[in-house]
Amino acid sequence: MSESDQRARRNPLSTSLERIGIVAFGGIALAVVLVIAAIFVSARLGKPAQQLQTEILVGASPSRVWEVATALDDYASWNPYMRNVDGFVRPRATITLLLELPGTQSTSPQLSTTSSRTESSGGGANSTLSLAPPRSNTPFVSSLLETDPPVSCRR
Amino acid sequence: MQTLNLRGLLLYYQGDAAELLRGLERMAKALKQRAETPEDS
Repeated sequence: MSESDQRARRNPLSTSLERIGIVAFGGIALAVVLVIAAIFVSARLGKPAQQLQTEILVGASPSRVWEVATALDDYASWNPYMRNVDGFVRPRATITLLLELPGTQSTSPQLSTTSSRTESSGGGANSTLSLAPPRSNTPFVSSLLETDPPVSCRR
Repeated sequence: MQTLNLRGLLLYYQGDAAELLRGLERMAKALKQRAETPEDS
């Protein structure tokens, strides 16, 4: 017979309380680990992602707008914040750019690009160009351009 | 003239919202200006 069994036989109430204490301690330890993990994750990711949106009417054909939006090598000539873009828009392609967003530090992230045409059940459709970092090493989570009406994604 | 509605979205977790929004609007205007400029100019 083990020592703990002998103790349980001598004082069953004491042993039960001891076990409850171990379970309670385990619960507290787990909670502490979770809180530390939450603080660590929070510190790494910062505050939750926020979303900003703007819309503008362009007096040009959808194909012309798409051409401008996807000609990354020409960004430096018109885009005030994206300079020295290196790469092409195609599914899962990686591009590198010099990004100077106002209110944030200048960064040179590597981003993955996607372009797609989506159609909703109501008959509407959008073309989207998405730039997103593979890891959270930039001030933004993703940047998206949507056009309405849609354009064909050629590149 | 054919027109197109261009929507820019930005998901971010750092930076000042007002400044970022102004930047997004400025970028949309720049893209509009570029797209409306004849290609041979």
